[in-house]
Amino acid sequence: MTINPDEIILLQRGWFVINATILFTWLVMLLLTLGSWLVTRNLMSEGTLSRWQNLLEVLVDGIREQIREVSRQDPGPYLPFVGTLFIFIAFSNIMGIVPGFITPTSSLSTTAALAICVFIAVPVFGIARQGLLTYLRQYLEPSFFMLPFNVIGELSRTMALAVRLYGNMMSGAVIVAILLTIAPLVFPVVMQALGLLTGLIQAYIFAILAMVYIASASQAQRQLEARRRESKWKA
Amino acid sequence: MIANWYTIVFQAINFMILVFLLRRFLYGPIIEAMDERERKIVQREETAASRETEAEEARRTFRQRTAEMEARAEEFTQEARADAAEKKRALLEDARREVETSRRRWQEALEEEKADFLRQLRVGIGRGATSVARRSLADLADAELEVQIRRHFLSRLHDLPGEERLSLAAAMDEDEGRVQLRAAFEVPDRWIGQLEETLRATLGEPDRSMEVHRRVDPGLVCGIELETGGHRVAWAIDSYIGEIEEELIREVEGWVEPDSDEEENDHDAK
Repeated sequence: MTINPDEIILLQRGWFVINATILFTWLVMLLLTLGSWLVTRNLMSEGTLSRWQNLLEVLVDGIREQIREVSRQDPGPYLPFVGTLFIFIAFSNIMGIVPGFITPTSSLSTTAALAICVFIAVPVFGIARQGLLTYLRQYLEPSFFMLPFNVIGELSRTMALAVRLYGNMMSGAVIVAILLTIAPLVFPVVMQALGLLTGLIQAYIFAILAMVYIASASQAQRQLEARRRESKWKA
Repeated sequence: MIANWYTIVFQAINFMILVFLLRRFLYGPIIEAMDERERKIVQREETAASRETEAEEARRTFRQRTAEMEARAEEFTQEARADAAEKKRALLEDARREVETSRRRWQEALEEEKADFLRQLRVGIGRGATSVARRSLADLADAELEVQIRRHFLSRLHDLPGEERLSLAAAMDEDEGRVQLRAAFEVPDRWIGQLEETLRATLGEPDRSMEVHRRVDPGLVCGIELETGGHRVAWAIDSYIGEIEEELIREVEGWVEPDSDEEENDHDAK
């Protein structure tokens, strides 16, 4: 049994390799894009909405509400990034129930890539929101000596993000595989149903955590400014 | 190694592409459609609000107009009532006047009728009384009375006042001495001679010629009448009877009048 889908090489031309992770990622991307295009091709702004448009509106609006609740900010700029994280992970995990489909998120490479994306997105959003210097200054808070700890914290949470998702997805696949050898009937189905739930929860957790990290980058700055204003008043 | 950097980079790029694709095909159109719907809802609400305002305005105008019309109707009703009352009053007045007029007319007619009746009654009574007198006088008349009447007539001629004598003479001249004598009884020739003598003496012309034509007229009750050239000298019991008649009628009126007043009062009461 192959635990790592990265190792399933489908095509190799010199350094260019297409493994199962990449292929199934493309498949997910294709399905999502195609589905979105088909639904949003003729949207209705009034009258009776189509079933699919309704579903997508509920989904997009739900994500926006979650972002607004977590960040207390306008969800507009964060929606494409955080929403895509959720949709991609959730759809990949759900597709895992299809026999023969290898979930891309069960590869550590995918989860690490997503975590790295978050790792990059946090400073990008932070700097875009409050400028480079203001953003960098928060690594020196509360004092210069805390800089290494802040950096380590940043790195470790990125790693935790990647490993958490990978571990959950991997374990789900592994448990099903193991159970199939012990009790090939009925029981794996239950586990797979549980896997669906876990997959959705993990997608939610991943997206929310990413949002929290991004939001904290700007909120920290705001708290800092508030504290400064308070000290000025006291003086 | 569980993860390889090649796949990690590939997947990161894939993810970024997916972010772009979903932004292009999912979030953009969906959010736009939702915003568009929200805008339309807001617009519809605004339209509804403005329509409601318009409806409210229209309702207020309608109510105001209704109130105005009611007020006008009330005014018209009042006017109509006042007109009707005025007309009724006028009609009543007219009717009263008419009734009054017809009553007066009736009263006048009644009065006239009554007066007429009374007149007839008086005349009837007078005539009845006098006819009784005449008949009794006619019954009583005899030669002696006739002699007395003739004598009395002659003495009357003899005692004519001065102006009447002159006018009698003039009338006689005008008629060329013709004298008409009417009497209720036969007059003897002898007495005609006396009459001529008396006339001549009265006129103071002893030579005057005259021609006396006599005629018996029973209508003259115990009387004699001389007529010439439109001048007339007469004596008759009739003239006395006429006086008696007038006296009698006056007397009758005196006892009839109070009764008529009573009748009038009775009519008013009715």
